[in-house]
Amino acid sequence: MSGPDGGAAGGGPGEAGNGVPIVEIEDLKTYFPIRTGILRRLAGYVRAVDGVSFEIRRGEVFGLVGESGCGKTTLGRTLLRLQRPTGGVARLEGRNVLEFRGRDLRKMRRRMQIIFQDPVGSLNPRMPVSDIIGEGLLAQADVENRWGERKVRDKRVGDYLEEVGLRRDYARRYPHEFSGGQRQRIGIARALALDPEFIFADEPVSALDVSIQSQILNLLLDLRDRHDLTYLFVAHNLSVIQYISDRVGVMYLGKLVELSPVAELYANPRHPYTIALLSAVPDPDPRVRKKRIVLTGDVPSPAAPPPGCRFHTRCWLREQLGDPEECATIDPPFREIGGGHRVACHFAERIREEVSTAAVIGVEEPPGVPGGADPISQAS
Amino acid sequence: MSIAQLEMPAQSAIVSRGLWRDAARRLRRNRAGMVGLVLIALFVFVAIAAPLIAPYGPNVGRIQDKFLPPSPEHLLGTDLQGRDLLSRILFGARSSLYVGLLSVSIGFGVGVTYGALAGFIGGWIDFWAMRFVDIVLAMPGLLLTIAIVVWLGPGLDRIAFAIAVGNMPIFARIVRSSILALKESDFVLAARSMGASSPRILLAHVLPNALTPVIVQATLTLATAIIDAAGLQFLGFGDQDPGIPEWGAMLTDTFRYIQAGATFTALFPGMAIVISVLGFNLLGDGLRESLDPRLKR
Ligand SMILES: Nc1ncnc2c1ncn2[C@@H]1O[C@H](COP(=O)(O)OP(=O)(O)OP(=O)(O)O)[C@@H](O)[C@H]1O
Ligand code: SF4
Ligand SMILES: [Mg+2]
Repeated sequence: MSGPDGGAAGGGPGEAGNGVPIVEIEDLKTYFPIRTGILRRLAGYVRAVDGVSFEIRRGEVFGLVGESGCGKTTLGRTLLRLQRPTGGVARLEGRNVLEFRGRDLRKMRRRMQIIFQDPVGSLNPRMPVSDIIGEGLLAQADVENRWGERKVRDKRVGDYLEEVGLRRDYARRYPHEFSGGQRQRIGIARALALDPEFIFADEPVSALDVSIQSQILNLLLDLRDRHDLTYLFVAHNLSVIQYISDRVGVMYLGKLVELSPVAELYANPRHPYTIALLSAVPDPDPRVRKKRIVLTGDVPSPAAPPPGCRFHTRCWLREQLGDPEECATIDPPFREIGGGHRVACHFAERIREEVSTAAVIGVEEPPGVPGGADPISQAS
Repeated sequence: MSIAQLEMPAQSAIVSRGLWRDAARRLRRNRAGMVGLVLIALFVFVAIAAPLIAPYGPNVGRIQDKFLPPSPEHLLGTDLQGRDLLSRILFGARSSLYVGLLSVSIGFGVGVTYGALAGFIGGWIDFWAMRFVDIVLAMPGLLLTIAIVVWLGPGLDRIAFAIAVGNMPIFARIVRSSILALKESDFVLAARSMGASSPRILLAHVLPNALTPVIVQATLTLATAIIDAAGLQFLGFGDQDPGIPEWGAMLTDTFRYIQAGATFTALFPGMAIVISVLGFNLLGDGLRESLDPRLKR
C-alpha cells in the first residue's frame, strides 16, 4: 500500500487521523485457563481481557495505559493473533482477523506488526541483523516481491536499517554488539520491513535510558508519517503517552474504563481511576501544587474481578458519594459523554464537583518535588 | 573480561564474524577453559596414538616383574602381572574415551530429541513425557546404571548404554525447559508475527538457542560418564576381554596393591581418571561462560 517513501504524507502529527477506523474491536475477550494439581484440573480463568470495545483510526497513535497486569499486552497480542482469543471480534479494515486460518493467517500477518519492550529478548542472539530483519521477508516471499532472493532481501534490509537511522553495514553484525537504543531501532526496522499498516508497540521505550526515549518516540512518529502507519501504543509513563498519542484508552482489570482524545483526557478526566493516575504526574509548572490521590487497597485478581464496577473496591469517588449501591452491583456501561469521550462510571458527571473536594478525603499533598512521572508502577 | 568488553563497544568498527567465533574468542581468554581444552586434547591424542607412543604392548609382561617401582624401563612401574603401567594407562585412554563418547552421544541424541519434542508440542504430551522423566530421575543414578548393566551383562558398549539411559532424562529436561522459555520469547513471537512457519521457528530460532545449555551439559556429562564407567569397570562390569586395559578395572586390585606396598599401581590410573575428568569439567565451565554473550557485559 504505502511505498517506502509515501510522499503524500497524510494527516500531520497530532492530527487524530482522518476518522476512518482501521481496527475495530468488539467485546474482545482473552482468558487464560488456570490449571492446578497433578491432573491439571481447570480451576478457573484469568480474565486478562474481558470485553473490550473500541476502534483505532487510520493514521493515529492510540495510547493504552493502565496498571501492570491489567491486560494491555494480552489485548495487543490477541489482536495480532499471537494469543488465542476467547471471544469477540477484531476487524482490520473490515475483516475479522480472529477468523483467519492457515495460509490466509500467515499472509495477513504482514499487515500487523509488533515492537517489543525488551531490546535484548526481542532479537534472536544467534542471528545476524540481516537475518533478523530478513526473517519476515523470507516468510512473506512471493514471485512478485522476490524476497526469497538473497540479494533482493539484503537490499531491503539495508534500506530499512537506514530508514531507522542505522548504517547499512550493521546488517552483518549480531544483536549483542549493539546498545539498547540501537537494538530497539533494529526491532522497529524488522516490523517496518514488511510494510505493515498497523503496529502494536508494547512499551517500546520503557527499557531505554531517558535520553534515548525521545529519540525513539520521534522516530516512531516520523515513520508513522512516512509510511502511513497506525499505532497501538502501550506505555506506563503518562508523559510519554501524552506526548505521542492522539487518543488514549485507560484500562483497568481487563476492561477499558475511559477513552478520549488526548488533550481532553488530560484536561478533563472523567473516571476516578484516570484521575488518580493523573494526579501523580508532576505538573511541569513547579508553582502548581497538585493534590495527589493515592489509591488504597490491592488490585483485585483478574481471575475473580469484583462484581458491579470493577474499580469499586478502590474507588475514592464511590467513598465520597456514600457507597451508592449500583457501584457494587451494576457494571457501568462504557458510554459516550460527548466529544468522543467515553467512560465507564455511573457517576462520571459528578466528577467536576467532586474532584475539588477530593483533597479532603484519602488525599494528600505531594511532599516537595513530586515523586516521578510513573504513578502506575508505583501503585503496584 | 572487561578487556574483551572494552574492545567491542557497541559502536566500534570491529565487524564480528558471528556468534560462534565470538564465543571461541571468549573461550580463548578463559584460562580454566583453555586448560581443560589442553587436557582433553592430550587425552584424545593419547587415545589415538597409544600404539605409537606406548613403550610396550598393553598386555606384555612377565609375572616375575610384578609390582616393579617406577624406573627408566618402566616409567610408572608395573602391575600385578608385570605389565608396564604407563603403556596400559595410555591404551586405557581408548576405552575411557570410547565409553564417554558413546554414552554421551546416545544420551544426548535420545534425550535432546525427546525433550525438544515434548517442549515444542506442549500440552498433555509434554506433561506425561515429563512425568516419565521425573520417574527416571527419581531413581538414584548409579544404582539405575548398575541395575541395567547387571541386566544386560558386562561389556563396554553395555556400560555406555546404561550410562546413557541415566543421562537421557537430564538432557531431555534441560532442552525442554529452555525450549519452553524460548517458545515464549519475544524473538519467537516476532518470527510468528511475521508469518514464519512452525518448523522454521523450531529449527531456526528455538533449537539453536536451546542447544547451548545442553552442549555445556554434554561436556560435563562426559566427565561423569568417565567416572561412572570407571566405577563399573572397577566393579567388574567392564569388557570381558582382559586384553583391553580400562582405567577403572586397573583399580580393582587396589587392596592387594596396597598390601604389596605398590600403591602407585592404583595411584597412576586414578590420576589418569582425575585428569581426564577435570579436563571435561573445566572445558564445560569455560563453554558455559563463553557461549552466552549475555553473560559478558
Ligand atoms: N500466558 C499467560 N498465561 C496465564 N496468564 C497470563 C498469561 N499472560 C498474561 N497473563 C495474565 O493476564 C493478565 C494480564 O497480563 P498482561 O501481560 O496482558 O498485562 P499488562 O497490562 O501488559 O501488564 P504489564 O504492564 O506488566 O506489561 C495478568 O494477570 C497476567 O498474569
Ligand atoms: S461506577 Fe462507582 S465505583 Fe465505579 S468508578 Fe464510578 S463511582 Fe467508582
Ligand atoms: Mg505488558
